[in-house]
Order: sequence, then structure tokens, then C-alpha cells
Amino acid sequence: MGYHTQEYRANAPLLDKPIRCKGKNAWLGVGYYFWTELEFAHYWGQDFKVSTGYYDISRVSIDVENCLNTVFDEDCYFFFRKKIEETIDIFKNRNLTVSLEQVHRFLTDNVWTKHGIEGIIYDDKPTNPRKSDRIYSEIPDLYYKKRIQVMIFSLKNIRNFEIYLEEQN
Amino acid sequence: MLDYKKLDKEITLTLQQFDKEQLERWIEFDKNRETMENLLSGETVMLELESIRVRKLSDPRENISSNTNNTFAKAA
Repeated sequence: MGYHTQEYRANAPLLDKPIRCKGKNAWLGVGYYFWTELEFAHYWGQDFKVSTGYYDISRVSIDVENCLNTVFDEDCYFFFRKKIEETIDIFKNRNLTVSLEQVHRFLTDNVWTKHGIEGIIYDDKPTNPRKSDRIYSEIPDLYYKKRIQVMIFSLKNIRNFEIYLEEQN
Repeated sequence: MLDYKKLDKEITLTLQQFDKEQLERWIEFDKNRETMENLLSGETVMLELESIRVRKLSDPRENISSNTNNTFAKAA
């Protein structure tokens, strides 16, 4: 199950599919982003989907069989890490500077899909709380919760998209 | 199920095939894509217009002075 957060818009029809992320927030590459836990879907809405004052959360079933599971699969984690580092070296060895976001987007554009990979499951550590009263851990800087995102390249991996919670704030 | 050992070798080969020119072209493509996305989502973007160096044409015969012994000036 994945959760997808978008701005609530009073006069717009409800979404019937997730919105593809292409801008600066597409840090793992261009694709469809989901949270695996509702808690973080709310935090994303509260922090980044506030221009109308409210946000909606949709839920969806995701086929992750051919996704890189860097969170729970040890072999995959070390494979993923090695490919990131190899990509950074490819740019550096050609005297080009590159950011980590660019590395992820480059791999999504040019490598992952060409080799049958359909998405990435990633644990983005919750070290950037926007609200001081939000407690990620009782012991600051020791975060026991994984903030897991699933990023899917294509809608073909998605089933049963539906609005789950409307007009949240 | 993904075979990481197989993918490891194949992807290393894919990455090594990119030369500097191809990487620079992708960087430019990525930059333009992000600018377009920011523009469409209503954010402030910085657009750099192509600049053209202005070269002023001049002809010394057009600079007529009353103190010069210019044949064109006399003719006029």
C-alpha cells in the first residue's frame, strides 16, 4: 500500500491517478512518489502541500516486484549504493560536477528502466522535521522510524488508486 | 525478482559507455526540464536569453569635420 499526497483544490475534480513528479522534489528521479506510512503522507502535506490550506491523501496498491528495495534487501542496498558511487565517478572522471539529485535522475533517465528496474524503495531518514512539536524520536538524532518512499517510474505498477482522506490540514 | 549480480555487471558497462559530451547533453536536458517544471508549477525561474554582441558599423568618410580637407565635404 502506498500513500500519495497532493494539494486539495476546491474547484478541481478529484485525482484519478497520481501526479508524476518532475521538478526539484523529484530527487530520486522523475516518477510517481508514495509514502508507505500514512504518518509521513500527512507530514508531507503539512510541510509542502499548503498553498490552498488543505491537502488530500490518496492510497494505492503498488507492484514492487521489480523495484530496487534498498530498505529491506541487503543485497539490493549494497548494489544500489555501488551504482550511485560508480555514477558519481563517471561524472567526476570526465571533469563534471554533479549533485546527488542529478545522479538519481540520471540513473532513472538512462539506466534503471533500460535494465528492467521499475522503481525504488528508499528510506529517507527523517532528520528534517519542520515542526518543533513533531517527535520522530524520543532521543533526538536517533531516529528509529524509517521514512520510506516508493518511487515508481510508470503507472503500469499501480492499481486501485483512490482518494483516502480529503481536505486535511 | 531482480538478479543483482547480473545487473551489477550490465549497469557498469552501460555507465562506462557515457562520454563527456553525452553527460553534458544530459545535464543541459535535466536543467531545462527542471526549469520548465518550475515554470509550469508557478515558481519563479531565471531565464537566460541568448545575447547577441552588437557590432557598430562605421565609415570614417561619414565623420565630416569643418577642419578637415575632405574631398567628400568639398563636393557637398
